[in-house]
Amino acid sequence: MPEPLLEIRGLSVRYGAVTAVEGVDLSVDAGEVVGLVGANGAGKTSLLLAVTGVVRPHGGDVLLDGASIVGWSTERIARAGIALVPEGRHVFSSFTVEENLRLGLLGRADPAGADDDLAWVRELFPVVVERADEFAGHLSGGQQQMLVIARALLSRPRVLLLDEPSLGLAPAVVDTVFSALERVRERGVAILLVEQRAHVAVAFADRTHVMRGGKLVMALERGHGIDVDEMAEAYFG
Amino acid sequence: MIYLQAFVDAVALGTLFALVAMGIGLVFGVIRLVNFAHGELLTAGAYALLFTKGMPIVVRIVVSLAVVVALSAVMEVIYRPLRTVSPATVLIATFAISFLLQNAALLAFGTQGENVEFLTELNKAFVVGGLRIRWITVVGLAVGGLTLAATAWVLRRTDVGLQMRAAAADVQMARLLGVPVRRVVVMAFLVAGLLAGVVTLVLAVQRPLITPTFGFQVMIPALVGVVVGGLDRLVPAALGGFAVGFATVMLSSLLPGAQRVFLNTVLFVLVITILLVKPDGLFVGRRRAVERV
Repeated sequence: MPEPLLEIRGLSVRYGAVTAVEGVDLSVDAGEVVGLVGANGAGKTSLLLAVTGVVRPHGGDVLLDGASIVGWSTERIARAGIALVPEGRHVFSSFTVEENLRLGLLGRADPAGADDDLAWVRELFPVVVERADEFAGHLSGGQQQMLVIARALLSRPRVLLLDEPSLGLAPAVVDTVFSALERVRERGVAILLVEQRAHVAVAFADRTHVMRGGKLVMALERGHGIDVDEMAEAYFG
Repeated sequence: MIYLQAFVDAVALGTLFALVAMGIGLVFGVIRLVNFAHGELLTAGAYALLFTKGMPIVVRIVVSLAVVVALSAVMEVIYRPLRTVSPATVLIATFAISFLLQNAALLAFGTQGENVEFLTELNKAFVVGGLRIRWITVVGLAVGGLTLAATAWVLRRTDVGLQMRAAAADVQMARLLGVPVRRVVVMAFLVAGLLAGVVTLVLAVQRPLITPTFGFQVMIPALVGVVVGGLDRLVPAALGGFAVGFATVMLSSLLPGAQRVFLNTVLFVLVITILLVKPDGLFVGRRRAVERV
C-alpha cells in the first residue's frame, strides 16, 4: 500500500503536566477529507498545532509523504505544503485583501501556476477577491473566513488543516465555504477538518473521528446517521 | 520671525528623531524587543567617522554606514538567545549592551571627545527672507525625508516589506504562511542599522564633538517619541519621534532664556500627560484586542 500523504503516529502533546493529545494515530490521503470532532478541550486544536510545529509533540511522529517533519520550524512545514486555517479568522486586519492574498502566494514552494491559482480562488470566492483594495479588517466575518481559506489555497498546499471553519458563520456562507472545500478536495488536496458540530463533519468527510480527552474514541463513515445517545457517549464518556 | 527660525530647526531635528524612532520601532515590531543599545549604533558610526578623518568623504561615509549596519547585525545575533525569556530580562539585557558599549568607548577614548571634522562646510548658513538656514538643515531634511520615504516604500511595496509587516502584526500566523521569520528579523536589524547610519552622518555634521554618549543622547528622546507615538506601529512611532524632536527645539526657543534649563521638565510633563490620556500612543487609533493563534 502506498504511504498516505499525511500520517500521524502515536502523537502526544503535553502542556506541562497536562496531557492534551495522547497516542493519536490518524492519516489523510490526497483527495481525502478526514473529520475530527469532539467537545471543547478534547485536544483537536492541539493536534493541529503539533502537526504544524507550533507546539512540539511530546511523543510520536508526523510524516509528510513518509518523511518525518517533527522538529521542523512552522515556516518550513508551511513551505513543505501543510497549510493551517486556524480558528478565529486570522486575517491581517490592517492589511488590504490583496496584501493578505499576496502573503499566501509568497508561501508557495513553487511560484509557477500562481496566476492560475489566483483565477481559481477568484472563482471560488468572488466576493472576497473583488474587494482587493479594502482593508481585511473591514470585511464581514464570513468574508474574512473566505479570505483566510483563499490565502491558504494560494500557498498551494498539499495538506489543508481547517480548525472550525464554520464557527459563527451564516448558513449561506457555510455553504459557500464547503462547496469551495469540495473543489479543493477534487484537486487532490488532503483535508483534515476539525469541527465542533459533528453533523457538519460527518456529512462532508470521508471518515470522521471523535476525540475525547486527547484520544480518538470512535470513527464514523461518511453519511453515518448521528445517534444522539451514541454521540453523547463518545463526546463526554 | 524667531519662531519661524525655530520652526525650520525643529523640523530638521524632528526628521532625525523620526529616523531613530523608526529604527527602534522596526525592531520592536518584529521581535517585541526595545533595543536600548540603538543609540550605540550612532556612536559607533561617529567613531568610524573619527577614525577615517582625513580620508576622502565617500570612504568615510561608506565605512561609517558599514560599521553601523554590521554592529546592528551583530546585535541581532547577540539578542537571539533572548527570544524565549521574559520581556523584563530582554529589556535589562539590551540596557546592559548599551552600557557595555558606552563604557568600552569611555575606556578607549575618554570623556573629552574629539572633533570629527566631517563636512564642516555644511554648517555655513544662507539667508532667505531674513531666515538663517544652515546647509546641513536642508541636506538633513532632504536625506532624512528620502530615507523615510524609501523605508516606507520597502515596507509597503516589496515582498520582504510585506513579510516584515506580517511578522510584526502576528508572528504566529506569519510563520503558518511560511514567512521566513528569522530572515525577516535579520532584515529588520539591517534596515534599522541603515537608518541609524544615515542619522549618524547628519548628526556628526551638526554635533561634531564625538563622545561615548553621542548616540545615547539622541536615543533617549527618540525612544520617548516612540512610546508617545505608539510602540508597535511604524508610522505612529516615527511621528512620535518627530514630535519630540520638534517640541524640543520649539520649546527651547519659546522658553525665556533663564527657564531653558527646565526644557526637559516641560517636555517630560507633556509626555506624561500624553501617556495618561492616550496610553496606546498619540498617533494610534482605537486598538483591536490582540488575538493570537
